[in-house]
Amino acid sequence: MNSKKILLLISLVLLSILISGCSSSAGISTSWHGLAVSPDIVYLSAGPQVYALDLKTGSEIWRYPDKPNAKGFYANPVLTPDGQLLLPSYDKILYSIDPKTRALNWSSVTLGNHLVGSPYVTNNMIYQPSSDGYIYALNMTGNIVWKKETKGPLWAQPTSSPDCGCIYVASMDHTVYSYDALSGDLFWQSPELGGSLVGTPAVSTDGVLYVGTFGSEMVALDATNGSIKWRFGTEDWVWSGPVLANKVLYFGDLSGYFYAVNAENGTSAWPNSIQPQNSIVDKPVVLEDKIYLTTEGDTLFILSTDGNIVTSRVIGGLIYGSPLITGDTILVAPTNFDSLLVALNLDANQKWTFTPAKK
Amino acid sequence: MWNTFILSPMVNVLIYVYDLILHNFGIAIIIFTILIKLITYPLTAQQVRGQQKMQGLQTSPKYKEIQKKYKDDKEKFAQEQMKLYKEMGINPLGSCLPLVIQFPIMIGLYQSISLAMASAPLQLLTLSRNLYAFIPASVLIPLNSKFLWMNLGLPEIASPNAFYIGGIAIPIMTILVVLTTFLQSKLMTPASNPGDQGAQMSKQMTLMMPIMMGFIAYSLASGLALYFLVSNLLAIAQYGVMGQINWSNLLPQKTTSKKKLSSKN
Repeated sequence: MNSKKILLLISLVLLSILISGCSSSAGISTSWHGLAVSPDIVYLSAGPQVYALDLKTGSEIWRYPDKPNAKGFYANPVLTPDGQLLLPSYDKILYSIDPKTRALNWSSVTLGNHLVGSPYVTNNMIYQPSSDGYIYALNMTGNIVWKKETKGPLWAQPTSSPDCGCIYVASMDHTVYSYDALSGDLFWQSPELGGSLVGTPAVSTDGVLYVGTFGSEMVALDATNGSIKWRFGTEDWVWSGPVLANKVLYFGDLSGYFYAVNAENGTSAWPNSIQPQNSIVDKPVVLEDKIYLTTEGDTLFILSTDGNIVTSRVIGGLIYGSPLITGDTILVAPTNFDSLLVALNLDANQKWTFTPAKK
Repeated sequence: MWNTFILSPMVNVLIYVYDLILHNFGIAIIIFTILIKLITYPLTAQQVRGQQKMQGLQTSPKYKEIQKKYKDDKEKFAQEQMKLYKEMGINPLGSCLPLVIQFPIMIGLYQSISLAMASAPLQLLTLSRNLYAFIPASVLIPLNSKFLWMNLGLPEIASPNAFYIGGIAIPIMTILVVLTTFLQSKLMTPASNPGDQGAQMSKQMTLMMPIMMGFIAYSLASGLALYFLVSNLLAIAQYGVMGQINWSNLLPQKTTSKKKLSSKN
């Protein structure tokens, strides 16, 4: 082979590597789609825009903003009891819009860094986690009441339990914090849990907090002081918090294993964990005796609570977010797919899909 | 292919360096940039040698002679030029190929810094899949992105400790990137006749590059600005070691060209 051919070959290899590099999504800052629902309308955050859709037909009612937000994506939207739709944005601002008209009610000041996690709303207060490591407590008009710093970015939606007067904040600094909901005073912080926490913890009525970690564990904490009650090892990172139903925790890991764990003692509730398909990123939905589970593959699985696959339905694209069930409709929001939202009935038969019209 | 051969190795080395030294992402970027410069040194040296040969050819009497002889016949000139390249053992792409090989490295470096700082869920998911087993990812993530006054995951002026004068955030890194890019372009441009087309293009690039790099450094994460700054300083140092710095380019050249013009007239 002469030198010209070698040169040509090298150039072609380099060119193909370059082209694949330019099309790589490694540098793209984005998240999966998020859902919130009112009785008749579903709100879908899909990258740089949020859509309001008719729940019965999937037809678009409005989109916000008109042009995609050039500064990034909107995280999972949240409807408040007083009728606001809260939109946390990667552009570091929390927006409140009227869910009927999409008119802007207010926007917060810059909250330090990118907003990746959803706000938690309780007792007329909004608790917004930020990637700057602060939890911001805002009143219902978006003014900051207090803010407290953790040592890592906050991506998990905070949570609370009735009568504790507190909010629980899971941080990427591997720690759970409990703050006084009114003043922001620290009640307790857990020990280092061995990995980042990005999923919302589940809280039981008998005062136990359950949180999944990047240390490949599900950890149970005493919700009154943050001490560890038990730990359950998994095959891979646990991205989401668990769902607690009938004293059993249901959750998956990034290797695609799905677990059922006794909430009281941290032992497996099934003889073996199951591995339906690809990575399980978000939490499942448990409704009566069925578990509705999406995986990073393209499929929605319906499992029985004893760990058998009842049925499955290929949706398409990549599914990272939880399904949302309202009435007799299952909503699944795939990414990398023409349709941004797919609605199915409880038997997993398709009702409608939503593909945004080009504007 | 890209992820396997370029992105994954780079991001793993970057995080390995982070784990090894002080758990500081700024220091990891500096050391990683030095490593990359050392690895690509043979390519840079080859590129410089190629440039030198080419420059030597272009100032040779024989080259000037055929330039004069075939000034109205571009095709013939190109043929004679190629003959001359062969005679003098010059590969016209010799100085270009090392530069082309460095392109994927630069893009990979940019992406690996951006990926390692994983500021959004899909990026973090991608990062988790690109890490090798020996990287204690669960312990290290999130990486400590605070360095000097910057949060390396944020644009400099958005960092909580950014410098303010009169209420205006001063983008110090951006200014340094602009200055060092300008210096780099000036010092590394070979001496040439200001009248020729190549020199005009070089002059434009000397102005355009700092503006472009400054814009990127200003608007993207400051970790990238740190990489640009260290990379520029190392490139100048590298050329200095090879004795290729052209200090005369820092001097004003207007008078020379005016003189030449007047002498022509």
